[in-house]
Amino acid sequence: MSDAGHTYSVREWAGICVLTLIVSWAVVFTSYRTTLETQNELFRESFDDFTQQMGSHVGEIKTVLSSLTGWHYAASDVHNTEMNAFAEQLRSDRPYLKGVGMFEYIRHEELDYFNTTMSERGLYNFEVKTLAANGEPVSGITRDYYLPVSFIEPMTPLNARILGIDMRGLKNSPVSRETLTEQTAQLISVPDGWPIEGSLIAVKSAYYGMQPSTSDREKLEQLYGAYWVSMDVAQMLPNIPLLDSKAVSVSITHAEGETTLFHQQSGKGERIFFNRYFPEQTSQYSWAVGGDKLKLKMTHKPGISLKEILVTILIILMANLFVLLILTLAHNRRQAVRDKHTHLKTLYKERLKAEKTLNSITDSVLSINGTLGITHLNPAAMALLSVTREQAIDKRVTDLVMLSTPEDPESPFDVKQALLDIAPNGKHEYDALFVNQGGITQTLKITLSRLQGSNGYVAGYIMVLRDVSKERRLTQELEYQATHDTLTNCTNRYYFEKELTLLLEADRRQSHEHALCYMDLDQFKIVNDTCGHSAGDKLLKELTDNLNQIIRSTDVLSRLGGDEFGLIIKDVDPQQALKIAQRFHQFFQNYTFHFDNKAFPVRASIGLVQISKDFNDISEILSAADIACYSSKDSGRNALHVYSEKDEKMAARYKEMNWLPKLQDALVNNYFCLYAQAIASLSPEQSGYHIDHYEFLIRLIEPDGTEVGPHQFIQAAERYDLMRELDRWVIETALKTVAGLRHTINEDTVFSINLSGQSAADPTLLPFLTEKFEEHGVDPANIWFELTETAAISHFSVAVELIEGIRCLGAKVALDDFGSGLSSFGYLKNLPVNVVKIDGQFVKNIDKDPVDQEMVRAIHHIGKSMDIQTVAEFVESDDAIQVLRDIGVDYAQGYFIAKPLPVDEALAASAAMTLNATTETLARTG
Amino acid sequence: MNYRHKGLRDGLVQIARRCASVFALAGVIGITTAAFAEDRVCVYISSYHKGYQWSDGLEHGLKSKLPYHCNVVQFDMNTKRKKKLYEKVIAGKAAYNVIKNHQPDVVIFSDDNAAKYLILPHMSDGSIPVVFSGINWTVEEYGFPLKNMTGIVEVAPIEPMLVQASKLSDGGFNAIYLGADTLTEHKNFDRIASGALKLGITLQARFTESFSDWKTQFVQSQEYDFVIMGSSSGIVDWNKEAAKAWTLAHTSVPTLTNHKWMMDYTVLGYTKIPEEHGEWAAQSAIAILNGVDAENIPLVTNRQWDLWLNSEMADSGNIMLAPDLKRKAKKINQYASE
Repeated sequence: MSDAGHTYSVREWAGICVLTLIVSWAVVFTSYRTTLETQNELFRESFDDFTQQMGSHVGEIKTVLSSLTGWHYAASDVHNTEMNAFAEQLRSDRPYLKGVGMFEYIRHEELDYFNTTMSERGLYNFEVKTLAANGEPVSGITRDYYLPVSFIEPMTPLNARILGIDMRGLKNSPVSRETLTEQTAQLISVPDGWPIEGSLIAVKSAYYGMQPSTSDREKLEQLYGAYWVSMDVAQMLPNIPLLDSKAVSVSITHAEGETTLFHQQSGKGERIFFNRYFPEQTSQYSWAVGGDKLKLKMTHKPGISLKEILVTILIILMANLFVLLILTLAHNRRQAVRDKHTHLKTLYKERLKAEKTLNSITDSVLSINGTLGITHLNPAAMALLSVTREQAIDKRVTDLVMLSTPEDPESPFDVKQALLDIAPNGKHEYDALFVNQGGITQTLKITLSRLQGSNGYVAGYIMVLRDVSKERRLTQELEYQATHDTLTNCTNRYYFEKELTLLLEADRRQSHEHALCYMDLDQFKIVNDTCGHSAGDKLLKELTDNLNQIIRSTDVLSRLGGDEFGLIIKDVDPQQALKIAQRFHQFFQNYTFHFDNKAFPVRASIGLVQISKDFNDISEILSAADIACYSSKDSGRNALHVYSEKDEKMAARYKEMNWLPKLQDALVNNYFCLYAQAIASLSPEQSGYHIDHYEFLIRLIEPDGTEVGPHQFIQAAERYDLMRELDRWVIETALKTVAGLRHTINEDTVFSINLSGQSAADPTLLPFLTEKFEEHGVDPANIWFELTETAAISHFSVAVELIEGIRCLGAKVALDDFGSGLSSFGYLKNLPVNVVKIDGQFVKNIDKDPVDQEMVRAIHHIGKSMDIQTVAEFVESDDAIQVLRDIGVDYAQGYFIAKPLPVDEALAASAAMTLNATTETLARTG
Repeated sequence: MNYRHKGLRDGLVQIARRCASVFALAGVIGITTAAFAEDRVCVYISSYHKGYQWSDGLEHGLKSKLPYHCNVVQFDMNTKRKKKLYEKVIAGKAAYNVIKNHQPDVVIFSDDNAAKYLILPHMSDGSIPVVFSGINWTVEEYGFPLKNMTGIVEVAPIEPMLVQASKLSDGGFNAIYLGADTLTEHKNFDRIASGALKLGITLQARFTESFSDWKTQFVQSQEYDFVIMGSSSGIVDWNKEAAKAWTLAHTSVPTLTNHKWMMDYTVLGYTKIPEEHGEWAAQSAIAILNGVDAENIPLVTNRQWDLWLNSEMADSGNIMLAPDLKRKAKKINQYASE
């Protein structure tokens, strides 16, 4: 064995393998030599056994033949029945004996008598025949004498064919009367066509009389015939194991080796022979049967079977593998020892490094054993706990580290329980307070880890203490800033909404009632505008301080925006909530802000909402409060309004609010479409009318496909400042549509587009229109822009600029809903519009109401005097058209002429209408 | 010796291998046989009916060998009960129709009526191989063997019976034959008389048509050295019990018969074994199915017989029997239930 540091080189490994192989092969060769010698010995023993047993069978054959002839001489007359029984008995325990029979010596002159006798014995039509090679008897032979078979046992339909067959005529048969008399017994190889099983026939002569004569001539005279037995030589072979192993060739012959009765070739393919060292062995033996001999030849080739060789190779390989395995294990063992040594070194270094690291970190680290005794602590821990190592080691941690909970500084933190609570290999973190030796309270983050021993028991704990006082302080400050308004120091919208959310969630679980009060200061802008923002800021701070004094300690007052405040009133029923809100309202009736010798009475619009379970989220509550507050403002400000679902105004307001997300969604996703309503041109010369004008009207498409008219959402759009976007969508889409219709409509067809008041005040609209006309290649002369009277008046100066600009582009401007305002005519004078659309209230009943007729007539006349065309809306009958035509109104629009339809349908309907009107006119005139 | 241990192991291996081979071979043979058996048809025509002792024995021998080689279709002509000639002719025609319908590979028939009413009128052309069995004494009267035909002839063991009869009657040569007055009985008598003549025995005959006459003749037959009991079949008013009582009362000389069913009235019986005929016919049919030409299978006669002894009758008649004869004979009373 080499020392622990030694490893085998490749050459050494190869040497070990070769040595192992040589040793293995030496063992194998010795084993083979012994095996082959044993085989030879076995062969010799087997051959002796074989000859002995085979000789016994040959002796039995002789005995059987002697028995048959003996019985022949003993019986006075040979009777078939008795002979059957005798032959059957002879065969009974000799399986190799396949047949027993007799043939008789018949001279030619005795043939007829013989045939007749045999027929009378029960063999009908008996006839001496010869046997063809195919086994079929052939009759009609003539010889000087015959040796026909006259008895056979066992007799079966197949065997029975042998009866009458002349043994003399068989192919290769040496049997003749001469051989019968010369030899006591002889052997015949089974001829072709022989119907009885077996490969060899043994024959023994029989004579008339009790004793055969010694003289050949007399023997011939007394020759009766012969008894024979048919044998299967293969079945006579003894059961010798060596034969089965196929290591031996066996050959049995007769007639001096001319005829092979049995041959078994040794199995060459399965064995490997070593002839050079172990030559084959041959043994021979013969048995005499009368004048003939049976010869046995056995050859043995010692060898090793392929299977054994393969097993040997396998064993050698396994032995080599085993040696290699042992060597590898030994090598690995040494390597493991070396590795362990190296690991220990590394571990020592790592430990030093870890100790240095522990000593250098600012966190306090304590190692604690299973019984809570301190086993190690780093310098930071010593500093924190103000102890020396010696004072700390082995002391129970619960005696040294005295902590309290952050929630209640008076309540001690149970270190022991915290350690015991840790799951195996688990880790827990806590915050705790620690009062150091200087009396300063520190917030510590404690990390406790449990060390698990290999046996499953607690190996100890690690306690890491980190001073997080500064972090906690900073966090608290950040938290405060996030939830408080820096100006007023009261809570902000974030905190307010968070608190409201918690309240709503708690409210769902409990049955407590709460309320929300929304306050918006009236005319706060005046303070800012008059005295500057510092005054506004002061007002807000002062107001907050005052409000804080009148709220309950449980309520939450937050500044939600510039001059908006929210108050969450907890645990109150509607009456209580109203009282508190009224207190606020009352406060504002008397509160005056003084700044720079100026006094500003401060008022607020207040909305109160009782928080019920009907609200799904805080946005709904805030919306309700907003609506209530808005209602207060609507009612003249400085008022308190309580939110109620039944309140119609509020409902409308709420409805508007509901439209907001829909409109925003529709604008983003293009959920709008355009309709067109035909406007008829009224010619005083004609009784009918001509359609060459359409007004585009917007529709909103609901998710279910329903199309909603503008009257439902326009108010909401105006309130939430969406009209500009809506108008631009209409302008863009309308111009695109007109451009698309360029080749299908008359070039002088006019389309109207509505503009809202917000658009009217939009200074960027005109550039937008200019760009879009160019983009879509639409002639502005084909476009009217309709501006409501109210919108135009609300933004008068800007509207005038817009109207002039539009006219400069080449388009016309129509004043919509004219007459609905109080001073319509006054404004008309100063608005440079091209068209006036007379409000429907004057048109609807014009055919019946003379006042309406006069009103319309007046508008028309004024229009005409200003070169302004007129359009009558809400035309609902043919009579109304006639009246309007009589007055001279240029255009008519209303359901009687056409309802708003999708653009394509509107155009198609108008074309059909025009055709009918023309036909009607022609009919009337014609 | 070492090799004996090795031999034991090798022997076990060999046994296992051979068992496997045998099972495999048996499987192959079984499948092959089953396949052949399905393909090949053997029609067996019985002249008589089920329940007739001779026919049943013959059928038993036949079916013990044959069914493994072919599908056996059997038709019973029932001519023992059909006395009228036209009925037998119709039975022959019906049997032929069965053969025509099944187109068998080989036809086997038993007993004379099938030869007369089936083979000779319908199947003498040799187009189908035929194996016969149970034809009495000789086939010459039918001109058998025909082309494509082989079979076994039914002969009674006359010679041993007559030799034994002579021994029992102290070399008696004056004997009488007693049977029903039927053609068969006349034929039987002729055969036995011929055999007797070769042994120097004079055999006279008495044929009767009635039971009373039979009884009279039986009493008179006791005057002879021994009596050969022919068949009572044909005696219309035959009464078994009366005949038994009568023979018990009047037997005084050895009585011998070739008919098993006459053993109730006879001392010794030398009877044919019907199974031997059935088995030979089956083996011949199998050889034909395996390709052997029927004409190359020789016609043979039966070679076995049974020796029966009615001890009660022997004792009643004071017939002295040799001890060896008593021991080797089957006892009729012992097997009466068979």
